[in-house]
Amino acid sequence: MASVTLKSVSKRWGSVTAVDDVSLDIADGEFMVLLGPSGCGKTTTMRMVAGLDDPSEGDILIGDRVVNDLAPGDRDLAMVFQNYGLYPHMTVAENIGYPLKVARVGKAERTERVRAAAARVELEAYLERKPQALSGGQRQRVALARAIVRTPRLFLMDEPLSNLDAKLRVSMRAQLKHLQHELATTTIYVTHDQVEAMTLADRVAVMSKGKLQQVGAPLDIYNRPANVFVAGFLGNPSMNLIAAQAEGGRLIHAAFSLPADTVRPGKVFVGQRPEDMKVTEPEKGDFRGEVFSAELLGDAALITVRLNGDLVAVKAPKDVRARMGDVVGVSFDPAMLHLFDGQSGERLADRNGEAGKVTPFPQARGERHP
Amino acid sequence: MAYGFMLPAAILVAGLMYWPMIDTFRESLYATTFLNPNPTFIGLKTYEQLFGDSTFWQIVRNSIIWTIGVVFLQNVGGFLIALLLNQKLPGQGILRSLILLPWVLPGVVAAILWRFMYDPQLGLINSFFMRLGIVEHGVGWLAEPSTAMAAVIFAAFWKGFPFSTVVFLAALQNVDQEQVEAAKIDGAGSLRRLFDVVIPAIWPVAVVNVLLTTILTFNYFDIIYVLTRGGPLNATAIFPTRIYEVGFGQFKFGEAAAYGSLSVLVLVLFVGLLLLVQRRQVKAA
Ligand SMILES: Nc1ncnc2c1ncn2[C@@H]1O[C@H](COP(=O)(O)OP(=O)(O)OP(=O)(O)O)[C@@H](O)[C@H]1O
Ligand SMILES: [Mg+2]
Repeated sequence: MASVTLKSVSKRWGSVTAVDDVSLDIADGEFMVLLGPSGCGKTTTMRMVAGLDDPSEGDILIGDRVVNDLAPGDRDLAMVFQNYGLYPHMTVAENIGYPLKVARVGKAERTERVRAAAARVELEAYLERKPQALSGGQRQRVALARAIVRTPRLFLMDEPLSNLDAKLRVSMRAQLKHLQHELATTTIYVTHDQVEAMTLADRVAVMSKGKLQQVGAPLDIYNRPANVFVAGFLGNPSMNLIAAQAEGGRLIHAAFSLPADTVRPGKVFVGQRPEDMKVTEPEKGDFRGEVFSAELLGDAALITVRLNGDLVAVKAPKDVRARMGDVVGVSFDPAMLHLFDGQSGERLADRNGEAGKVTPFPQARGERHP
Repeated sequence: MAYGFMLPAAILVAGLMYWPMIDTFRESLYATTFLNPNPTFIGLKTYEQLFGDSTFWQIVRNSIIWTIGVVFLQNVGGFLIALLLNQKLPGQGILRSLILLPWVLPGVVAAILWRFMYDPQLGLINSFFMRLGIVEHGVGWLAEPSTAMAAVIFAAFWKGFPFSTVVFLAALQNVDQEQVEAAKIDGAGSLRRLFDVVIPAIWPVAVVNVLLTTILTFNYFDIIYVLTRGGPLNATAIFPTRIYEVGFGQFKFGEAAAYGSLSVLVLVLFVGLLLLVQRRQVKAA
């Protein structure tokens, strides 16, 4: 088991900066998920930890040893690839046993450990098959077994579930979580799927354009996104973000104004998640607007309301009936407001360092504009 | 019904391709010489004579040595050079095009070039070996029965290896990098990755390439004919040069046709093998 530390790690290819000054501490036994949109540098970050790419700058430590100059095979880690990277000409047993064979583990011990690893992922019945004769889910489990057979200090997984169908993905996700918990091996897991990140991670590291945006427990990140990017990226449907102007202790928008005496004058993004808002009678809400669209999500309805130039999405109970063109009221939860600086996009309310639930305006009562 | 449409094409192909072969075989059953242009049917007598002739067996032996030698060098050498070119080297694009040069040269030109190379007085090979102190006097590589075969094999290897290199290079670039990287992480060194991942991945291509070069080499005429004409003392005579020699040098058409029929038999065998392997590979994929 080992901790992993990235110290100001960057990776450049010519003029492309794939990873930009990323520093990250991963605790021993922790399940760390790297989350971000396509092309943000997640895979590159992981490949540098694996030793498949060399950092342009910075140090990578596994345990307390700098591993920059260590070959992948000497870093004592295992990796599960997106397409599994199985050896097609070897049987399942040979695939799983390959790291042991390379490490010159004796044949008897090898057979035993292969069997044990296969049993862990319920593959005993397939040991003599070739990967070609397996389903996607089974191949995925072979890759997992090959990773655990060696009991390495560190697991790296690059979107290991992305090739599976939705249902299988959910069940493999649970198996993966269970397995990692049992083995308590430090794990770095790359995904662009926020549900995967939320369900699997001890902590999530959100990346965008090569930069680390925020690191924290899934709920912390969800409840207190550090900037506009994280706020918009996490959550489905995503957070409403509306530009307003801070002026004389109030936030002014064409459709409403709010008291906000701690905010310095200037442009501010006001954010609230759709599930923190309610659709009401036109007269009862904090403001009102015309229904732009109404979608049934299954367990709820997503109602989008036009608010002057902006659109605001509200997650309502599924029995709320609203038709396009109706005028409805919308009320929000002042305790769940997120405010971000209009220039930097950084979160404003946490600047004073208060912990726990964010309540930027305890006395806030939204006021409808005349 | 569908076969009906194919019939004219089938007849045309059969006529153009197979008739000459059949006719060659027919020819081998007759005694025809320059002096006696009226063919007399003698059945398999020509074959009987051939099988009792030590020259024939020398040609069989030569053909085997020649084919195995060239195919081995071309494939192993071609593969090693492909491995080299597959590395990320500076100027690798230019190297990849330059390497094709021997292959695009006409066979006769390549052969003349190698005659100069092997020349006892002026040849580069001799001056190279003499400088290294391996030989004292210029060796007539092509004139000595003991070295002629090795010399033509090497020249043919030089002429043909770019084909294998290009084929192997394409195959190498198709090797799944995820597998290679998985092996890296599993702790396999570069030699181990080569044998455990890369070679198995390109194996189907290698098999086809070996069969293909075997067919081409068995048939190869220009290099040997220009370099040695099959000599000295038949030391480098193989089926195609022998056919030419017997047919157009000695005007023994029956014997030439018998050699031709036998070489068609060998080729049909290898082409059949090639088709079989390819069919299997398509099925496995
Ligand atoms: N070998 C390379 N050469 C040049 N640029 C590269 C190379 N590998 C990655 N990049 C670039 O680096 C950036 C980050 O790529 P990376 O693969 O790390 O993204 P990612 O977050 O894993 O995305 P995805 O979710 O699509 O897999 C991209 O802009 C990509 O084009
Ligand atoms: Mg990626």
